Amino acid sequence: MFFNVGGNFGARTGDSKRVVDKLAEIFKTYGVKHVLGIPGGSIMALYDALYGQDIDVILFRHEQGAIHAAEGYARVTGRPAVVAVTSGPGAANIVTGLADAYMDSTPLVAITGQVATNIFGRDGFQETDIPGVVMPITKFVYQVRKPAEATTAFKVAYEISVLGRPGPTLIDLPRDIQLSIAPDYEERIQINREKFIPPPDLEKLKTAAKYLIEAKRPVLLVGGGVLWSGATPEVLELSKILYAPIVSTLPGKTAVPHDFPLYMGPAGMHGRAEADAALANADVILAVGTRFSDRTWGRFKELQEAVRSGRVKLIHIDIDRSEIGKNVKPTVDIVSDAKEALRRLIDFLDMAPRASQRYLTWLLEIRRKYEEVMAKIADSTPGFHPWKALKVLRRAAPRDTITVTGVGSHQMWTEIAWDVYEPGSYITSAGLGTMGFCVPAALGAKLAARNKPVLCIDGDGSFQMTMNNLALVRDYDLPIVVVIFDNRALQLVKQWQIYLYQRRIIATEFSKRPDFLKIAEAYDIDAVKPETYDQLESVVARALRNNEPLVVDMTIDSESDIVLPWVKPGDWLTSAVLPKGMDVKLVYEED
Amino acid sequence: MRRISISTPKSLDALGRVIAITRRARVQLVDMVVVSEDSLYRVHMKVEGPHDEVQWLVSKLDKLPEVLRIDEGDIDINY
Repeated sequence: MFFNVGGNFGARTGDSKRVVDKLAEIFKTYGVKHVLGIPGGSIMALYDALYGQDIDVILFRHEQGAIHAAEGYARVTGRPAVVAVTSGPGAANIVTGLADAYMDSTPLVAITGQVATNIFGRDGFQETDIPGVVMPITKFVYQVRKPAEATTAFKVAYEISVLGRPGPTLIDLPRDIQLSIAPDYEERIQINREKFIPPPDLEKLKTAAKYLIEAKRPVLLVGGGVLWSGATPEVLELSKILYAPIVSTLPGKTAVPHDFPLYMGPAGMHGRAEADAALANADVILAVGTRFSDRTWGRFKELQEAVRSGRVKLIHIDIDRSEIGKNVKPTVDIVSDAKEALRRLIDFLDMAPRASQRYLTWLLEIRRKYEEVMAKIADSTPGFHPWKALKVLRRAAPRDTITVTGVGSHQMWTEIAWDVYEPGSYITSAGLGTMGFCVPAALGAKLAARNKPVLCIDGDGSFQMTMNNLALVRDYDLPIVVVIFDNRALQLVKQWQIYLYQRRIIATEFSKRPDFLKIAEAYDIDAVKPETYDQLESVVARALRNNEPLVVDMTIDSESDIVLPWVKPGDWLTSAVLPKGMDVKLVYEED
Repeated sequence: MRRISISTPKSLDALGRVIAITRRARVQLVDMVVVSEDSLYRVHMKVEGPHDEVQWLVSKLDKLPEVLRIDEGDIDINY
């Protein structure tokens, strides 16, 4: 009796459908085309219900791969993917991805199997209290206790994941509930949906418009919320009307086409110098869909003092009320969807703005000097330099290429030097900084957009954490191109050891193992170790053009791979360490 | 000192989420009472701390879908 899981293993058709059969039906009504994951004892019933259904099951090699792939999928489609894993280790293995999705506001629905309800709390085989584990890193979590709750729980989890600020949700499905006969009614789950999309306060928007019109050095700070809201056209229009430079956060980088002439790039720890300068010297900042991360600002003291004294007017628009004033108290706070607020704000801009052209000219001159200096440094570096390699890769990749990164120095180089042309086509792990993100997220992106080229720019450390998922390239015909910036080091940590820990290098240098070309061969993927920039460009261009998978092992000299600019942790933006030969100050001087 | 009153569905998971948020707040939780009703838990907290930190807690709690209602105000000795 104690270990009797109960339920009806066999029923799949007829009048007596199991809970899992009903769930499979609901998946279809919600447009779920794929379920990503790995089965196990406690989730077998759900997988069984998917047998022969018009839903593709995508089998990963580790659950972390499935959850990151769901993130990539969601960032491309704007819709949540469904991840299904077993209890215990299966559930625990998706925790990192849930935290990552929570930090970067990515919608997904995770379904974890759970031991049968009659052995809850008895330390059954593969029992883990996963709702207890993920409570702080999910937007909604629900453990189903009755058969009639299962379909409602999924519907709520799916809808909540995209309502307002997106995020991951999880439902925990005990094995006996999955196998129960589905009742002909659904239990209600009480939640409050109404608070998620508040309308903007028009009076506050009028005040914001007045500040923006009067500004001499207005700056638009764009966060990831702009992309989720679809507010890119409004941001560009505002920038043109106000003659205001656009600066982004790292997640916001993908919301703005980089060939827009007033886009300065991302600011922050490894942002662009002109973006750091724009933010630090602005007199009015309109921050949209951003959570004021320390990675963007270095530290908040200067901004807090400037806003408090009235020297800087800070307007903060965010759909999440809890982000307003979290780190910096704004002059004007507007809780709203970004697109709706910006559209109305534009209507209120009824006078000619007073922005300074000289300010823009100064910022663009900083950009010119950085590019000039980096070109010289790259040309004098033996072998590949990351900055120049990215320029070459950008030429090789079609404009609509979806680019995914891992986490490490290569990622920071992409923050600085990778140009995004189509909104939403740059996918990175920003808030949590999860190594191992690239390969699975790229697979998820390719699954979502098979007609688009997908390029994974990874580091050797990051690649090794999830490279086992390369098996899916051939299994499901997901031809991604992976370029490994191979410096055989945890380079960003090593950079800190060099500059902040007096060069005490410990536990950041890898051996020459494994041979990445052999790893690729093991997964039946062509691989190449290029020797010149021309070769790099031609092999990547050909693979992307022909929709063929490829692994590129690009050797980078670790000693030359120092990512600059660099705002050291706890420093203000104008203290950015700039590359040698770049003789500029990031403090603006008025006429 | 401020009062925060919350209604959640009658679920220990919802209550757990409320506590998970509260433990990260930079306020002192002076008192907390949970009253069980037919289908709801009513959670009453007394918290002490800077105004902005209390507001942080209130807005973070209000993000939870399970928080059906939340009020914040002066201490009511009759709660």
